[in-house]
Amino acid sequence: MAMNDHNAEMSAGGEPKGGPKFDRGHPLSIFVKDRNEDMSALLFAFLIAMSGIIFFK
Amino acid sequence: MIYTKKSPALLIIGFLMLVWGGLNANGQLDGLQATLQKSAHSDHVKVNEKYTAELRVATEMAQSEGKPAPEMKKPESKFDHAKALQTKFGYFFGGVFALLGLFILVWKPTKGNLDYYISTVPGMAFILIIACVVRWGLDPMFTNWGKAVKDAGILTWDFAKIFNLNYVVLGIVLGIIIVNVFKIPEWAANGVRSARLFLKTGVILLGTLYSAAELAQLGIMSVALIGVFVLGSVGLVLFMGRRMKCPNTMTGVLSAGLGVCGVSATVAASPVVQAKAGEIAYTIGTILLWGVGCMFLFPTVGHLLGMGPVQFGAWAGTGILNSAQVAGSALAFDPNGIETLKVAEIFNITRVLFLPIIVLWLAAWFVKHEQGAEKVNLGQVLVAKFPLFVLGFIAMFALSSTGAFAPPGHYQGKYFSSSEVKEDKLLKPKEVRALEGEVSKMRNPAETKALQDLIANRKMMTRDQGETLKSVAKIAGLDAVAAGAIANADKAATHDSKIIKNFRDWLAWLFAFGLIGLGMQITTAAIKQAGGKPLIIGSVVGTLKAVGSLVVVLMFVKEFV
Repeated sequence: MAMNDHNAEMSAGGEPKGGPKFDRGHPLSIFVKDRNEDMSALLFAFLIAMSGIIFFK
Repeated sequence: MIYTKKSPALLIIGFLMLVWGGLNANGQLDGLQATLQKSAHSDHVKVNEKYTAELRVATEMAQSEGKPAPEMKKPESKFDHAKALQTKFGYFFGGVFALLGLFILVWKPTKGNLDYYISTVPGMAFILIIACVVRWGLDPMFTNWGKAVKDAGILTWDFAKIFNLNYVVLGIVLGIIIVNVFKIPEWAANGVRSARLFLKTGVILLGTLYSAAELAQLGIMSVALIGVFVLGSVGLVLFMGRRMKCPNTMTGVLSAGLGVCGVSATVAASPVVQAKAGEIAYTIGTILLWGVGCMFLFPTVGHLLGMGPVQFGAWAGTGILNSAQVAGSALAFDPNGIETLKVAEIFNITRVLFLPIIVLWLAAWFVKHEQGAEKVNLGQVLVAKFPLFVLGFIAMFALSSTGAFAPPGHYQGKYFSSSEVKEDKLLKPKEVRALEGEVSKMRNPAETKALQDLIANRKMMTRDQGETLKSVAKIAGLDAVAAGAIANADKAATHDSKIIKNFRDWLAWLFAFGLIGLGMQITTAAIKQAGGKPLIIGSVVGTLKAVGSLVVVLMFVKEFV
């Protein structure tokens, strides 16, 4: 299975039956497209790390 | 397409969280909280009793001197802190969710960004309220049950600890139950999809817990021994998975779980190889079952072969897959000594510190094989497809190693520092006198020097001396006050970084959230789809690792550890 197809399948709900479905075609799908999801995760982690350093140092 | 579903669910969740916050603030849940947080509550009672007694003495003294009663600030116990946190959490999220819930009910959604983002909130709130139930309810409840069953003598071991019935496993299980019994409600579907984002954020933060300096302190031979087995296991699983035509996603996540150390490695590697929720559950199930089997088998084999504490610790730390079971096995082998447990933990830590290398390896391996063609330029594919969050994990590991969050030699935020020992934590004269009476019992010059330094400075001076004296504390016939003094001095010199403690709290929430969401995608069909092959691979690699490490430990460990 090509990687992109796999991403698409994962993004569409991850599992064949019973799992939640999601329209992966939306241009703002930050939670779906892998690179965007990664960037969001990096941003969140960076904010948590910075807040930790500022408030707990 | 309109994503937001009209439903009162978010409003109800918000209301429930506000009620929870309010009841906590008014102390109406104190009875329930005391049952759930047993040890924190018993500390709380002690702190209160001490405070009341001190206040009474101070008041009486003031009255006898004709002064007004003094004002003393009541110290905040862990129990108070936990309650305050739950109150704030309930008010904040409850308020936000209730407002947004009302908004969803009265708003006519139109196609666009606002509709898209609002549509994810009810699902996130749904997972969050379940995460609260797991973290504040089920997790402590199972911990209490595990201890109670052990204390009652029904079992000789703590089942909650051994089966890892903590928020990680309980979160996944609860998610699985919800999706298979009730199905995911439509209004929650979009939010449930966001679980992987939070899991990735958690994995990036996981990098802050480890440091390269800790790895360097462990000794070349233990690193080499572990390295061979960790990398060998990962390589073998990847090879067997390809040969047996398992999906790369399944093979990748299984290799991390079997190679590094169980559940946390599985969670860290799962987004790297884009593992499906069912595959993650399958891997965790395989590791836990295999680990529990090893936990009972290893001590028996160890005793049959007449292994020493160091040998057994090295074997358990290398051959058993999951951290809790490594500790369980070491304690089962040697319930009274700490030597076996210490060695096993050193080997276990070494194994965990290989995680960044494995994550990088798997990322490159997955990208290459999922492209399915050796002809493609690996460099180009890596640039285009390499999971960026892995770089975040590596960057956090690098930052953590430079001492950005805690002194460079820390492990999960814990570090040794003699200079940070507070004045009131220095050894008391009674403890010093007890130690002075034990100098003649030291078995070698290193122990004598360590004890003399401790007596002279009234605190532990170096980490090595701390380790030496901890084994001294186990000498038969050593005065109980002296042994207690060593334990106190070691505790006083071991510090916990506030920053990393904060990260650990975040991690717990991010993983709880992410794993409940993942659990909600594990259907029975998904488990069936994974098939029996991973179990075969797991059994073969697990057996080879256990037997191989036993042979190597028996041959070499005596000489170099």
